[in-house]
Amino acid sequence: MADSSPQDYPTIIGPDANFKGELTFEKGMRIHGRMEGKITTTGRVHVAKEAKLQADVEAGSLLVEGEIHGSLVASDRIELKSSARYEGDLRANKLVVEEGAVFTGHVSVGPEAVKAGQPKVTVQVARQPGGAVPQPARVG
Amino acid sequence: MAIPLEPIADSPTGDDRAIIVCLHCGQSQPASRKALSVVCKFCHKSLRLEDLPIKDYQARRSVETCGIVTVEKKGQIVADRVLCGGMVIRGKVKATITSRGAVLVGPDAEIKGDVLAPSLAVGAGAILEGQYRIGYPTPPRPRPN
Repeated sequence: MADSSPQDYPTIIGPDANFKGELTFEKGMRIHGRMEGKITTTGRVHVAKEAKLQADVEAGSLLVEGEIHGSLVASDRIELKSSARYEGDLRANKLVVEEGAVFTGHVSVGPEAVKAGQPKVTVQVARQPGGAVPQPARVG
Repeated sequence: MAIPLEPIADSPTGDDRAIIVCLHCGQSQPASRKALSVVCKFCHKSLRLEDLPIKDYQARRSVETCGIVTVEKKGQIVADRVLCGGMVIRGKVKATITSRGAVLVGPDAEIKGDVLAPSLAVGAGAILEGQYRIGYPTPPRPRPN
């Protein structure tokens, strides 16, 4: 994956970059630098060897070679390469861990794990004084 | 036979003996390669040295061996804990796993429980649920007074 074309990862955070905040994109991103915050995408995220993340990541798939602190959620797969260092909770459809990867945290892997993490729609009915008909409120 | 199989240096019978690490106290000691079990000379607990293949359903309080536990495709372990020198899982395991060696998880495997191991390899498709601590040296358990 490291030899993939630039089209696969149109967004790149370079090795001298330091990013703080929320990041949303569609296709793919490669991170070589430091990042703090949140990443949301349906595409791919590649955390390169020299990258350091303190972030919650929600992505389609994730390839980790660097260091991450935070929660990872992938609708497809998470790959932890032998150089990966990871601390946090992990939820994915598929997990591939190479020998040598270091990680701690709660792991939830399988098709059910991703489904279980999706937000549930609940209906709250508030009781109103005076016998008025309560209006259901949708909470996402 | 079981894992750590480093021959003892400068020993006249080095080929016959191997260094084993106690599952309970973490102390290493020599043992015959042919031995199936020994008593740890530090904590005096019995240590099984042989590899353990699991080919069917097994419900036990604990599974302990210095060797490699292999759970085959049709194998299933339900236990409080699995203490082993290494583990290969192709079937189902519901237990807390503490391994002194690598844990290899096949693509059809299912693990429910915490895992503590120096290294882990997971095939895509495995189902995992639990607290994982991978890549750190396994700490020896404190000796009872």
